[in-house]
Amino acid sequence: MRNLHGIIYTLSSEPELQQLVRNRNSASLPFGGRYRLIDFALSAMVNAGIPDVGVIMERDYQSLLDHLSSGADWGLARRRGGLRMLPPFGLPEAHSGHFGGCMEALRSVRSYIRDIPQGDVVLCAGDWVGNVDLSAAIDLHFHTGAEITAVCSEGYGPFAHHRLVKDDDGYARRLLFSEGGPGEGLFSREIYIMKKDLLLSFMDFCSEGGKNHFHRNAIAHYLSEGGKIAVYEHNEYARRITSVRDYYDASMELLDPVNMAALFPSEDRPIRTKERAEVSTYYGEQSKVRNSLVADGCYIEGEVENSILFRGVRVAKGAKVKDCILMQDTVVNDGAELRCVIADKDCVITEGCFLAGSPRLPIVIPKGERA
Amino acid sequence: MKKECIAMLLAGGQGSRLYALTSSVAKPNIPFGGKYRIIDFPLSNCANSGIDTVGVLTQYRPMKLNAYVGTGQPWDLNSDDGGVFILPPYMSQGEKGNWFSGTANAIYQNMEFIDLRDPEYVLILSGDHIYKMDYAAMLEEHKEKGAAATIAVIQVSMDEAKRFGIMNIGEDGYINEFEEKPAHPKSTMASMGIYIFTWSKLRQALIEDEADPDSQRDFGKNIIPRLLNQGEKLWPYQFKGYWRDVGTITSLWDANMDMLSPELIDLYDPNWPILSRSPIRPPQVVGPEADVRHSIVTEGCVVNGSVFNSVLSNQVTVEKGATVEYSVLMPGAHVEAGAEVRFAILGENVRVCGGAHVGTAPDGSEGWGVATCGPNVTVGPGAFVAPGTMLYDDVVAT
Repeated sequence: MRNLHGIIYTLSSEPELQQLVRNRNSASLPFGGRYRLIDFALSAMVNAGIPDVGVIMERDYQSLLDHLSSGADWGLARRRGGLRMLPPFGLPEAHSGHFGGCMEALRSVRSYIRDIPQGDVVLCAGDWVGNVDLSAAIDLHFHTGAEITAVCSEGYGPFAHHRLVKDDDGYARRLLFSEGGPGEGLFSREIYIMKKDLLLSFMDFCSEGGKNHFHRNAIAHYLSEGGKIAVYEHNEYARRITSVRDYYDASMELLDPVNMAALFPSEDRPIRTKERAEVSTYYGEQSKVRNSLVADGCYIEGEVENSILFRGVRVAKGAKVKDCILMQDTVVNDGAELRCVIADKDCVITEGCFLAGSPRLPIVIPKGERA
Repeated sequence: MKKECIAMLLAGGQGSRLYALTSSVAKPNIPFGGKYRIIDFPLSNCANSGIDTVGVLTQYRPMKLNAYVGTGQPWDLNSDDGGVFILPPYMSQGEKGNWFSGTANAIYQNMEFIDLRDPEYVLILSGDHIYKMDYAAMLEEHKEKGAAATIAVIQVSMDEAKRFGIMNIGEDGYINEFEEKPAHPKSTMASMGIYIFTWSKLRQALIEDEADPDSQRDFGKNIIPRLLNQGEKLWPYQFKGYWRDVGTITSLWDANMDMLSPELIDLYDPNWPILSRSPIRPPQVVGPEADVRHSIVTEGCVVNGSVFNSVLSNQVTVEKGATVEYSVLMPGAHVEAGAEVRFAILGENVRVCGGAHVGTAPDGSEGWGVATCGPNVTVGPGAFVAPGTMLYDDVVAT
């Protein structure tokens, strides 16, 4: 067990995720056949032996509450410590419930953070896909005795916005912002291990004047005052999901065995999620399934290719599903044909229905709709 | 805390007719139907029937079974006032302690466990049957008929009746005779090995039976006949639906194949879920070269070969160019490229190397049967495992 306290912040529904976050916070977006985005951050903490985790929630947190429940599926339902859900409780009366950024989210639960018994915290964004060996990052943090340690990765993409430039001594002293393209330094995975007192001082500094952003306000200020950040490099697969396009691309990337191996490396670092009472998946006598990721509890009698099927999906005889993501309990009826479609939970695709999007512009069917 | 009815699950048998499959685990812990282990069926039936206290009597190789049952959390049986209790044989003051010498003796040795809950009724279950059953409905009938014991029965064919304990019924509908494996059955009403007893009656019968030196301490052979002789009322509870005893290789294979016919037993019914403890694994990967038909596949599997009419538990790998037909693959089994597995059961973590063949389709020959590879066996490159084989150890090509 590690003497650290985990904090996951689940910031608001990114507008570019459109209907996918109509009724949910982006951290509870279903991903990869049986997960929600938050499972990756939460599992990383549990796998590193972090005993207590607080999850800060913005508006639209009902599905997150439902998913996390007591925390039992992550081994966090405990008498002492374990999982704490933190819906905003310290906001001014007129507040919309929508946070301007991470620092405002932290301020909303200030008394909780003040009372954390451990001396160090791991602060982590809840909307990344990846499987970080947090234990190794924590080892580095304690070994160097750094005030603050960042998890960073090589590469670029829409998720690689905040970049830290690592000096030869392993510490970063410069923070850069890049809009998507390649840039100097390593991008921040939005996972920081730091002294609790340092986090509280960040919160004090950002308490006034609309300073709501962790990187732009707190980290930039800390570095300008001569601070330095130890860097733990995690160069495996990592994506932050902020738009429908990101979501579709990251989902399809799972069909590459290299990415699957990076996300689900071994039994040591399993990604945990809410368990459902589930049956194995049944493949019918005429089913034809190729190059797909399929969760348990599906019933497939039709054709499925290059697709992600969540738990309990049904594909009837004569239906064709290609390049699609079908979330939990969605039903595709006889003769229906789907291409580049993201069907949210509990959708019904009616008999003979034909829908085709493109990889750049997939069709999204909102939760519970008939198409 | 007083309970109306508690369940006692007999899970201590070796399951010797499963040979290599039970060489290191008890029969109730055998993987079944992809997602499950055999014990999931009675435990889920208890939970779904509202029976929240279950004693699991273990004796043979219990370690993995104990770990699997754990706190009973996967079946929602981990409540404060109920729970699942593993009950191994134990020592008493001044005695050496005894193994359970029969099904009735196992319950006799745990009378104190039952008395602590002070139930009106006790449900006796075994750990080797695949079925969905509402024990609450059976209990209602038991109470309504004022019986000392109610025995669940199922109609079998006259031919099958010779292999079962058969109940003969009087005009009033109560049981008036019990015959174990009769040569000339008088009825086709077979005992399913599921009993509800009024606890005070069973308690007395167990004490008397224990004093009888000639008794085999068996429910079917001793306790039921004893109650009948004493003129107690025994009622047959007619069960209709899917029920299979999976005590032999053939019946285990058959019942797994039945899981491919959802019309036989509906495992998708949200009102009667069969629950299990699943390892934490990612979804199954169906590769670009895969051809999977009329099969069930479970999380953690990676399939890139041909799989027909088969049952794959979690973490099974079927490589590109491998063929699996009419087979049952238990967790962690791995079939390499170019290997063929037909009409076979592969135990946990079995590896079938490239070019190896396990089993064949039925050919009408005398020695034909399902080929079975015990847990952790490796079938070497190019080796052949003949139909009907029971493999305990690694083989190499000859």
